[in-house]
Amino acid sequence: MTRHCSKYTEKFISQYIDNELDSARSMEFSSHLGNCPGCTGKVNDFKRLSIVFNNHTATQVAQASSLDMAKKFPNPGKHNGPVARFFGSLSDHLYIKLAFFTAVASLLILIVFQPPPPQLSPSAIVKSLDTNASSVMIIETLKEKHTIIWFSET
Amino acid sequence: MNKSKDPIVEEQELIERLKKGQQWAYHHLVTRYQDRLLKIAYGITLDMEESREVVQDVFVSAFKHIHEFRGEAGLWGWLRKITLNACLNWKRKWKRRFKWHHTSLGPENEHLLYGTEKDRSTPGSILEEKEFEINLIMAIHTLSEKHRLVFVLSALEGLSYEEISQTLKIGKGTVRSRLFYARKEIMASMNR
Repeated sequence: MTRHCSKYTEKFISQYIDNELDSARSMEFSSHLGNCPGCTGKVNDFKRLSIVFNNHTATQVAQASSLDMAKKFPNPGKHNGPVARFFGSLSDHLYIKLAFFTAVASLLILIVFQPPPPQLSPSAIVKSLDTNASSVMIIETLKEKHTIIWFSET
Repeated sequence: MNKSKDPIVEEQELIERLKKGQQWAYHHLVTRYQDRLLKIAYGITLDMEESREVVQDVFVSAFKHIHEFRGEAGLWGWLRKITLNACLNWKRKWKRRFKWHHTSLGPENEHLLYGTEKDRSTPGSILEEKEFEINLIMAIHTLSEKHRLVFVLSALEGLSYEEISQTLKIGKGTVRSRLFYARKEIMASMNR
């Protein structure tokens, strides 16, 4: 590691090589560099990190560039509209997708296998009369009134 | 479509074609951005095999969610952001499995980066360069996530503090500080 002078901090030099100093300070430091091998060394040290790292990654990528990433083409059918996009987005989350279809299936089962509505039963017996020969009962349903008469056969 | 008559596809046109789900547009997207994204992914993961998978997933994800692209940072900025997030997710996944910080970084594993000792039997200056490179990569391995991200965006993408700040949603001062400490930490690791 290069030793730099005490006039400028390493943080300052870091900003300098990032071109993040204002022009006045940048120019002042540039002229200082001409007379200070320590600071020049530090600038070069910092710059070298980025350059070597950049070259290293570029080399690694170049060696791996023969791969064909485009061969894994996603299903274009998911791009037709908002509904399709909705289902497409579901496919990214398996658990959400499972939960969604379970909920839909449950609703369908409830609708299809819903028990028939109960028969309308008499809501009230309005009048009932018993005699020896017959019985009369008037019952009222939701829709109408019924009069039922029983005759004794004896 | 005749590709030879269509050498320059404007970004907006590419986006429209992607929204229509055109396979050719997907191929074009991959061809155009594959290397740049791989570089970023590798810079963060330092693992080319994993980087390939990450970037491939990024393209698939981008294609599926192209309708969510708002165009604020441009297509490249959007892809870069997806890649950064994908790399961080990858890193966290491996961290949970105790691999990320448990890969031995000692000299015995240098061959994983650059082959065997025999391969490096080169003249002095080149060997010195190689050793510097190996030490640098091993030092970057030890960088924390937040410092590595900033360093990658600066070194590989050449982004300004302002651009890094917008990409990572952190303050400019934080960028300045993290970048400096990343450099300092790398230099310190290399000199240990």
